[in-house]
Amino acid sequence: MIEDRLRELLRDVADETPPQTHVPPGLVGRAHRRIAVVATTAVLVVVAMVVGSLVAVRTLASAPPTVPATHPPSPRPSVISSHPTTTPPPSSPAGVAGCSGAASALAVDSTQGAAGTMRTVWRIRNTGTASCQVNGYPATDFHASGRWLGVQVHHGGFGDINERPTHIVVQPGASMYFVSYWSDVTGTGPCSQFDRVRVTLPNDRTAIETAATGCINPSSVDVGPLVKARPA
Amino acid sequence: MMQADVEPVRIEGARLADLYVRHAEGAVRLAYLITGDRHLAEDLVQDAFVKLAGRLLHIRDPGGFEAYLRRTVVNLANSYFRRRKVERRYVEREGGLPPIQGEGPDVATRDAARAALLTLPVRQRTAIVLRFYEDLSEAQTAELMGCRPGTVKSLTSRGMDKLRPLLEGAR
Repeated sequence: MIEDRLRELLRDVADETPPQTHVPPGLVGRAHRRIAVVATTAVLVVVAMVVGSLVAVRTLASAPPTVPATHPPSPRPSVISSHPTTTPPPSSPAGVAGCSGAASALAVDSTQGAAGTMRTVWRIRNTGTASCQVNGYPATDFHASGRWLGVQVHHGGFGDINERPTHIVVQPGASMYFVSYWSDVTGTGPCSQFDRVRVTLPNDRTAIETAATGCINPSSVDVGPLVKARPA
Repeated sequence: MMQADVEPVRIEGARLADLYVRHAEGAVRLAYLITGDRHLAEDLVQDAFVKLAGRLLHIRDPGGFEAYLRRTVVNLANSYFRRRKVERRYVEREGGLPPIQGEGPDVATRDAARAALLTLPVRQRTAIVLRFYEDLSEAQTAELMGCRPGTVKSLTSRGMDKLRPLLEGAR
């Protein structure tokens, strides 16, 4: 067979190489240096990944989250278009129910406007007969041209609304507050003239509505957390 | 032919020197058949060991060291020939040295068989060495060379056509 002859020929040629009985000088040293380089590189990569992850986590933890607006699953007008973010504190007093829109009233406490940015302080009064507790951001939406806009609100963004939410207890008849900012300027056309506003408290699905008018750029709404003390 | 290890090599904690003594000879023979240069073959094998040393901890299958070594030797040989081709083109463009004839060094001093083998294009030679010296299947050869089995078949066939007169005359 011609293949057998070829195998024999290849073996003959390969036999011309000397036996490798000794490790060439310097080989082990070169190998160790390469291992050191590879190991160092691997360690640096791992360290970079860990540091990067920590930075990312800290950045995410410190930045106010953006809550995308989604339409409510049901057509009930009392369910607002964006859901609030909340973390029940471990120190929540037992037996105190969460605040609900069913026992709350929404009102504009004050409004200021300058340079195209409107600042509004909203007041939510506990109309129930029992204390309630809350911790988080309210969901907010605006009614314009016969429909709810489903605005995408941003949590924080101005100096007086950048604090993290804290757990608060609202006595019957007392109020809690939050501040919102929005722009009445758009880059593409006129702002939306709204006639109603609705707010939903954290962990609740009953919206509180109130009549309010203004003009809003729906993509510019920033809200702060619910607070117990009336903002200045 | 590289010796087949039945006993698995313990990669982690194994000393490179032990691995070298165990596998270098087979690797040098393979490299020599591909390159036709003993010194170059030894250099390539040493480079292969150094290169593999950085990956020893990542080799999951301890018995796979031989396959890794074989693959590394073939890859380094291919890199060498690619580099040499570039250098040769540069020298020719600059009008310096005359072009080198054949793939292997000093072919005139070798016997007709080796000369014929060494004048094969390196990919044909590699395919023939892996198929008929290492006794790898077409699929294994293709995987090692990074091509399809059909390509290996074609390379082997063309190489055999060139070697056939020599092989038939040697009978």
